[in-house]
Amino acid sequence: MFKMGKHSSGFLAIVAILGLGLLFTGCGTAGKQDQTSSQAPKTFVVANWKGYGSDQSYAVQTFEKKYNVKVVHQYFNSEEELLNMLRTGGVGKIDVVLPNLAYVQPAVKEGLIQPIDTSKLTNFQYLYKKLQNLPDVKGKDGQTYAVPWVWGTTSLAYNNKIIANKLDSWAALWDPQYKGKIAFFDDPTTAIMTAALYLGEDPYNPDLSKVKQALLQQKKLVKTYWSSADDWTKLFTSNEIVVGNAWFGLSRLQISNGDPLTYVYPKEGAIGWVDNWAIVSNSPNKDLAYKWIDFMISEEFQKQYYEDPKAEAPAIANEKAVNDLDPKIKNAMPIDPKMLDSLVMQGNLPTDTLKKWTALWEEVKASS
Amino acid sequence: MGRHNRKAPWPLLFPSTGILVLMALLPLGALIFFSLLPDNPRPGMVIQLALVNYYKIFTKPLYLTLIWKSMRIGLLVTISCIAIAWPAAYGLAKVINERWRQTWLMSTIVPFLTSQLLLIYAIMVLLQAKGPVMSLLGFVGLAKSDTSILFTPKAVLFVLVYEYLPYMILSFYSTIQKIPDSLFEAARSLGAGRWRIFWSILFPLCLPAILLGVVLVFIPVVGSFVEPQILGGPDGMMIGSVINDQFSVVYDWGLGAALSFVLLLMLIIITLIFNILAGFATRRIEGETTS
Repeated sequence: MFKMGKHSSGFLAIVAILGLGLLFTGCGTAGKQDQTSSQAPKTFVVANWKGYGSDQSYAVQTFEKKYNVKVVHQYFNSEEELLNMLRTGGVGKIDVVLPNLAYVQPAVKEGLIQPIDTSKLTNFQYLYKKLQNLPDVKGKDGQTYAVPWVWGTTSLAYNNKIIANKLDSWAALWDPQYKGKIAFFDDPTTAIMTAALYLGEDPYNPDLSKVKQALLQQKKLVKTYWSSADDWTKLFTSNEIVVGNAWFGLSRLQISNGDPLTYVYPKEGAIGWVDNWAIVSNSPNKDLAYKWIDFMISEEFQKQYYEDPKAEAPAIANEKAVNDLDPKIKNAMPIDPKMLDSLVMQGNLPTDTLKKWTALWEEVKASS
Repeated sequence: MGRHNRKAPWPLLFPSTGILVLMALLPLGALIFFSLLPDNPRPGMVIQLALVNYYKIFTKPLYLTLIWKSMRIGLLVTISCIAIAWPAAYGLAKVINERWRQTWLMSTIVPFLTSQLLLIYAIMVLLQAKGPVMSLLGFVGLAKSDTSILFTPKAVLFVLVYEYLPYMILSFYSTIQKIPDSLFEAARSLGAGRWRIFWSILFPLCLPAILLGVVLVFIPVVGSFVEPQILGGPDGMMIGSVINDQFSVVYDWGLGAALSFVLLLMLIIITLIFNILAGFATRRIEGETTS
């Protein structure tokens, strides 16, 4: 009857949680027994997105060999699912997780992750200074709860074969000469922050009526609001669009595939995000968790990950690793500390703000 | 056989009842429950029920406008599907040579067997500016080859009709196939014209097919959000996208559940109205023919 499954994987999740909550409480003890058995290597549980660096063979095998453990991955498909994994039995079972910067604070507030002593991480000093000092990974107690691993941007990308002049401002996405040739990322926070940057408003607290007006004005020029990497690539390669806001990793892949794409950071600033490793509260293998994070941010792993053409890695956090990259790969995309300093990070947004922004974005899309 | 069926022992009903409870009633109960929660549940939270979410839906024009828009699209798609499927199914069931019927039927079912996303992307390639369809239209002079209906609500309509047409064709086919040819021959021999045959025989006998088609097409189309998102362009948004946003972007399960429930109720009411209308029409036609 009603197409429930299609509507709401979230809803299915609710139902699943109701059932799984019971299951997990039963499983907890069984899991611990495995780990205390003498001969077999310990199990180290990592929660991450599928195909996102940490499950590459050069990650898992290297770590397993070095510390004689068995690395097991658990996958989530959204940040909310990550939190739910921890809420419904993951605490005490999972060792490390990779929350986005916007989700570190909720996890800290609910006590799902524990403080990290960064002085125990030999590679922490090599991270970009800005990433070492992100306010959103710190708890109210001043302690660090998450370690930046990779980051990326949503910035201006354009077809350099069709647009001859160099673009350097978000105004391009409001420029009538590109009418019907603009693709804008379908995401409330990105949309509102980008409009705020264009208007010169505070991206974290803009005048929402001005933002709405700007977005409505832009709507008339937009070909479509893209929502997946696939959407964007199709639009771009078929010349349906010539300019838009796009992801760092995706643009990097396109450039390496030979697409005529130029990726720039507008003078008004660009939007950035950071994914971070965190240690789950009551992690069964706390020492290993430190070693895992130290390995994940090491020059060895980060360089290999970024240079792996199949991995489609976003920008890496280890500055030393960036400096030592193969120059060809390094110069294909702009990563530099100055740009990183000017990024507007998508950090922790209060729930009410997120709701308000989403409603605004829906109103913009629904208006005609 | 008959004796067997009548005396079916009631424990045999357990699996199906169980599935019904598990797959329909429980989720529905959860849906209503969540729709009454002002905040997402957390372990240790005191649960208070309230109507805040429903208040939001009926006070903000956004949601009702989008529900109305989605209903309109659902209706358009359903009517288009009926208009295309009816003659197609009649042809399949009554006109086409028996030998070719299976092949034709199979080819109508092929879209069924293909992933929905693949269908959408295939249509995108076909319809894109300077693509095969637009080039042909441009060549004939019907449209400019460098334009396209992609990224407009029209593209959404087109793809939805394409996706749901097989349901409608099959539902008509199975009904028309059961009508004995003798019925048409008798009508013709008694001097009924084409219109009369359609109105007095085909139409009333096809009413169940229309009803089934409405349930199979109208209801899922109203809730669709993938097609508008990919193909609809800036004006494509439907209510399904808003519901999806609540679950996957803002994590406002309460509002998402409330929206789903309101939409579900409206769809049930519409289906009931269709049912009543169809029943009324059947009775009228039967009354006409028997009097």
